[in-house]
Amino acid sequence: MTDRDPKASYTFECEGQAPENWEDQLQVLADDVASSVILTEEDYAVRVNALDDGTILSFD
Amino acid sequence: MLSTMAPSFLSTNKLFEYLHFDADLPKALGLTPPPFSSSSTYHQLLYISRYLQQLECKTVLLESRYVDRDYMEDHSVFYSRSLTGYPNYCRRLHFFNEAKDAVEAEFVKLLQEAAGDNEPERALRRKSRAFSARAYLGFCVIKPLEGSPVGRTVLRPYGPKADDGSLRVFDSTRLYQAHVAGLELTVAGLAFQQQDVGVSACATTALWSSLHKAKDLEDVGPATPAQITSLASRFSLPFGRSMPSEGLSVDQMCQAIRAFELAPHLLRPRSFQAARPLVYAAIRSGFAPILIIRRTTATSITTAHAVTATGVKLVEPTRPRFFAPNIWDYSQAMTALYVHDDRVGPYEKASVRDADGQLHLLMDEPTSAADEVTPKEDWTLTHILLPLHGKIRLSFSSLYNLLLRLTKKIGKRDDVGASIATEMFILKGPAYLRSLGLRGDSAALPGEIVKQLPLSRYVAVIRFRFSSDVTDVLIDTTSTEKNLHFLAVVTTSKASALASDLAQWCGCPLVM
Repeated sequence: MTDRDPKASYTFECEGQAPENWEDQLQVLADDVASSVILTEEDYAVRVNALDDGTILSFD
Repeated sequence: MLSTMAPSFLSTNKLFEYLHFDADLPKALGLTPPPFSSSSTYHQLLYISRYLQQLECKTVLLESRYVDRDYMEDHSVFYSRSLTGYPNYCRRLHFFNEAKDAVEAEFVKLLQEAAGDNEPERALRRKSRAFSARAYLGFCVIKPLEGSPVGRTVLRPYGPKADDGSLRVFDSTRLYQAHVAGLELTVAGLAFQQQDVGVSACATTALWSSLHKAKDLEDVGPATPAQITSLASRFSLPFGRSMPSEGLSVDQMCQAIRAFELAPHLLRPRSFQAARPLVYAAIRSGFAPILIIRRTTATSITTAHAVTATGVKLVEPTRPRFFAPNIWDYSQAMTALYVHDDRVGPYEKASVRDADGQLHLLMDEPTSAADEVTPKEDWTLTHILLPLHGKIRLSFSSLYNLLLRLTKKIGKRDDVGASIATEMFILKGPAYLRSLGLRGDSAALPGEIVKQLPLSRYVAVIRFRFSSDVTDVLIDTTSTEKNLHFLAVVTTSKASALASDLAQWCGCPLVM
């Protein structure tokens, strides 16, 4: 929705420095992210059904 | 006399009325909870009342007879077949942050002024937009269902600056038009409604909100709650009957998205670190992702829920950290999301936290009232579901891996002095060009890009920002991870050695 990126006019301040083993950590992160597309039948069977009065109809 | 009509719904005989805003909307509308309904029956409407108070709402314009596309379909499929004679029309409330007399006078003034213009239609549209941007807060459809009255509701999101100084960005919203008394009012937001547990539960409602945003990007057919539930249940009924709706499986949610000729992109992040950039990128790209979350109650019952993410809160209370020398990722600044939770209301703040290595969302309980210390529900993110155009073949996980590989190469350079912020997103080609041109200092760049290369329908962007300059790696989203097709490296910096290197690494032209 936002044509003009509001982050451009905002000053972000970072804390600390990159860890010593930053390359290893990036690799761990890359492996983690890559595994996000690995899905099983159980993933598709999850029943999404939280109700607004707190009632829980069933369990998976 | 025995009546099967909902009495309070029909109590008003004025079709169009300006009213002072009342912070107790259920009372102002004369709603009466059905017998034995829970104490949270009007929770969503009360939440909307409180939200409008924060937006400094002063006036409500009530349309007493409004035909709502979504409710009409629900009525046709479900409610018209009940013994109770539910009306097939709704009420609609419009909200303004100016006083009643001023709003009423403005409606007349806009038409009068436009009538005197050489191009009255254009003038009216322009003036209506200006008035909407100043005073219109949005609308709320009230369905003739006493137990679940909140229908299609589009409200303006929170402003960009939070009280604590942090930044709010609502990229997963769109423009809506509302036609009232000859005027076209506009509001930027994302449609919300509550579940009725007749044609929809949380899964249907979350899909409905997300598809509203998809419709802004592609020519998707009308997606009403009744249609979504029907299409989701067309081939599979793992939990029995589809209506009254008691929820959908993730499989059924994917089926519904496919039925609307979109591609369901499902992700299952295994860790907090992996989930955060994927959620951020999906919202940043404007896809209004459906977040499937899970929690176990004090009585050891596990339930799953679906909400639609509309925006992010950046920075406070924590600050981002560098993940490579002098390089950080905008997603690390994401400390909360703003979600449409059909059990609570629109733009509910969900604080993001890392617990046990998983991404958790701390959200209000649906039964909490304004004057209570709000109890929080702790939900764990399990899946991210996105309705995408079929030509977006690159997944967000592939794109983030590419960002990490480029970050690694940049991090090894000796000349990275100033802090570099990075992010990834997917935009339609024209939207990308427009956003680049609107920066002000790069108005010539869109022209240069289209002279040199054809863009895919959607372009994936990996952005590196150095102070006010940006360098974007553009990737064709119709390519795949194994056969990546880089379109170009685009930079607003005239003398960027890094941009030249990026173009060389990616084997694509440099546009500057």
